[in-house]
Amino acid sequence: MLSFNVLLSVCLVYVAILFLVAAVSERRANAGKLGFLQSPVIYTLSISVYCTAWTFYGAVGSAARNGLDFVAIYLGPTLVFLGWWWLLRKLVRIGRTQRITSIADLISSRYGKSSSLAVVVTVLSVVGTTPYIALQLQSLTLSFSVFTVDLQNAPPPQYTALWIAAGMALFTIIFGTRNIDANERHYGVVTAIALEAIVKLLALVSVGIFVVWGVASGPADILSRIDVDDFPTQHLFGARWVSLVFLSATAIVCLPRMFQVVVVESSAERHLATASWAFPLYLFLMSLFVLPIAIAGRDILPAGSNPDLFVLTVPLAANRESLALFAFLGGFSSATSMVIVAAIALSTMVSNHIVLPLWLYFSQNRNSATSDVRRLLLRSRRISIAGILILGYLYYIFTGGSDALASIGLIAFLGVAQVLPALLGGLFWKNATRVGATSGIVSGFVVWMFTLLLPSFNGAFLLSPETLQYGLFGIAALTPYALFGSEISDPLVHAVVWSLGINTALFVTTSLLTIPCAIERLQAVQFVNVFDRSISSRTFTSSGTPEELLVLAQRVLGRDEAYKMFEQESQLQGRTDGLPEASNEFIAKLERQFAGSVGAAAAHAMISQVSSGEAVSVEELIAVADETAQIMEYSSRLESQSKALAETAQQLTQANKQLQELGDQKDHFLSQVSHELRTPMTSVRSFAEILRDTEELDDEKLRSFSSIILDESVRLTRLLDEILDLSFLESGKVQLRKRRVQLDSIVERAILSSQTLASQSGSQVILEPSVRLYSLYTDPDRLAQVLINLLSNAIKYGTNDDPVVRVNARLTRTELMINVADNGPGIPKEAENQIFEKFARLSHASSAGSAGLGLAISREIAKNLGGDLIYVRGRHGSVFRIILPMVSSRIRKNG
Amino acid sequence: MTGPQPNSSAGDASRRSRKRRELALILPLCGAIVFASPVMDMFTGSTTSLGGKVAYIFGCWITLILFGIFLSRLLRPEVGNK
Repeated sequence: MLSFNVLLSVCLVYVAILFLVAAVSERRANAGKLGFLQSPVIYTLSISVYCTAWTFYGAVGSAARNGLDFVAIYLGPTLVFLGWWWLLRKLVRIGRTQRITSIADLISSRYGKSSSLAVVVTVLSVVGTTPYIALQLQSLTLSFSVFTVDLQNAPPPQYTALWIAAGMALFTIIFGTRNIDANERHYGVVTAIALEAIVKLLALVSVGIFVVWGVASGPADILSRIDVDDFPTQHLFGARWVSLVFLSATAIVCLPRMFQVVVVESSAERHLATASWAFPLYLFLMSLFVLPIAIAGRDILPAGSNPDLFVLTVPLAANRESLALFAFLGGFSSATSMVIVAAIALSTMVSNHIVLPLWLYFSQNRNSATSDVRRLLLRSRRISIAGILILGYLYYIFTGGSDALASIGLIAFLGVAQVLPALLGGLFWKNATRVGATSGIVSGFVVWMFTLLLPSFNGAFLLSPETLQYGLFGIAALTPYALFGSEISDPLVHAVVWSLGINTALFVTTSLLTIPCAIERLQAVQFVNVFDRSISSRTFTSSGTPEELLVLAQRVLGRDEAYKMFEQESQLQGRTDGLPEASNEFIAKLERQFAGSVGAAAAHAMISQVSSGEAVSVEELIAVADETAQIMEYSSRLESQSKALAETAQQLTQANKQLQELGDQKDHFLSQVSHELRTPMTSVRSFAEILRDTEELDDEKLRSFSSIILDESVRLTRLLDEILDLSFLESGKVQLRKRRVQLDSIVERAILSSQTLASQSGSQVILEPSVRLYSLYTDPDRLAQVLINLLSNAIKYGTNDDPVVRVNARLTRTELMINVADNGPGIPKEAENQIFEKFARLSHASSAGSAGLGLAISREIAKNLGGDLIYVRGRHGSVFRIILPMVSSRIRKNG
Repeated sequence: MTGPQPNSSAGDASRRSRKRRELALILPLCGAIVFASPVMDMFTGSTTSLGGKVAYIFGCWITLILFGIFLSRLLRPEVGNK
């Protein structure tokens, strides 16, 4: 058996080697000789910090206790890394574009840079990681105890754990707090962890190979040694299995240390492509010999041996002390790497999100020199590292180190998993809000503590044994392992269901019920659409090339316009390749050109990204958003104004059309008037000339010619009267003298006026009895004028052998209709539309001697009386109908 | 115009890129199906021997890793361009 001093010496030498590797790496990085320090291999190996003492020792213990359950812890991360393109790549991209320093920073930044949310996530991370650190201390203490059990002067386990914690704190402080820029890579630490990753893999594989081909004679022999009674044969797939796969998948992004190495320490996105298969392969190799070691331990070690230590005790049992020492170093590496990275990540979170805000709040001089802040941050990080390790140590002491390693690790997994809903929501759901994230995380955190963390103290801390058994305040529904009476037997599954269920439900519900503020919206777009918005910030380096500017110009200006502009500029610069030099003048010109399309702020932000690699600041984004809002508002106003203008233009077009029609009517009217006037005037003039120039005219001719002149003059006067009357009626200025009269009196008056004409043509005018039924309120002279005109037309155009004109009346609910019907030939269908036009005369009736204004005047009178005059095609002849509104009509009683 | 001209096969490249990204989604989904769904129970039930369970889990696992290598080679150029 190795002496304790030898063991301690080996550990010190190993730690010294780690210090040396870290120091050399730091020096090379400071000298700019990054080389392999930025290789995907180092990146992948650093991710293996996932494999802690839990993996190294606890996996074998878990395999010995639960069979293949341990594999689930590796399968979750495998699935996440296989899907790297969708989640990890986005995280890394956001990490780079937003200069994210921790998972608390990511959540806070996504939800409007909320300080309170950052504090919540930080506290959750610290509390969730504490059991994990305790687990590392416990495993290391156990491994020491394996070698020191026979030594009388060996220190108690508590002291061993304390010294281990102190040593790790020292290493972390020296190499984890060298730089103030938390976003900067810790090359020394990462390289040391990569070395530890190799050591722990080789150690475990060496033990595995020894077990398979040293203890046994090959894989078949190992499998044959399985005692069916010892290894569970239940179904692998079940609630616990799914929970384990899910939790381990969650842990790979939510654990602060994993976020640190996967996102913060990532130097290039393309390294993920290698890590996507190399890390799962690493996990595969780490787990490949876990089961054989567990089987061998069960087979060759005495009953009651601690399965968590089979990695050490199996080689020791076979007197392979050097192999056991190597395995011890593997376990040591597993624990230290985890603690170091976790301490770095947590100390960054504590100093940035708790200490610094508090210092700024309480500081009297908030504008103190930058150096003060730097010193404060360094101190707070160093104190935080020590504090975090002390917390882990206290947890180890409180739990008494009695729990199996695996159960402690799972407690930590579920604790940090409370960040998952807010994290995924923040990456893929723009409507997720700060209030929703906070309520979800806080509620999940409380439920996790109540159902899993506090019960892990077995009644020694906060929750009494009675509470664990009978529920909080004796309420059965608040029993930690049977919340709300649920009957989920597995405490882990029970806690997963309740904590993440309540967390997710509150997160989603509250997000839907609350409205994100402006900065939340901006950050949401930045995160969810990171590949749309930040391509330039990754692609374009600190010196913008013409090609990059051209790509950007094409996006803003369009392909043709961009090419045209670039070609013109290229010619101005005397270049022949079509691409101008990205001079300051050209960039300024391009920015001005962009401003015309996307606004000044957006143009500046875009050009800045390409030309100087600057990230778009929140202020710039707000400016862009404001400008966009203004443009949208302006565009909306323009749109409404444009619509109004279009309507006005349409009205103008219509009015213009009406004006043209009126103009045409006027021309037509004047032409008609001229024609109507010319005919009698010509006749008058001709006969007047004859009378003047002919000296010897007999009396008969003299009288005849004079009569003609008189008749034509009368006709002219009548025509002019009609034109004036029509003009007066159309202008609406006619003054009506309305009074209550009997309809039959008006009709009889009209018939009397037409009697002479009727007698001449032999027409019979019949007044039907219905006319006598009504009295009405109207202008009787005007109505009589209409009736006379209609009767005259009916008599004049009546060509029937026995011409008859009938006048009747009929009352509807709203109108009084007076019909003047004849039995003449009627009006041809094609002429119906023209009969109310001015000077309209039917060709066959040109001899009637009318100017063709009668019907036009009659209709205007009817309209002035509030009604209308229409033509109704009759069965035999024509019917003209005067329609008068009922308000002017009254039924006479007892007609 | 002597400047850069759009690639005539840009459409084909875009389609290939989309297919690669779809593969990147399908692979983890396949992993979830073989490891975390009732499908797994068909091969690791209580009647299956421990050796059979080990063979199923580790066989599927290494197969997924091999596909992961293949996918990584497919997607690496796209990451490199960004």
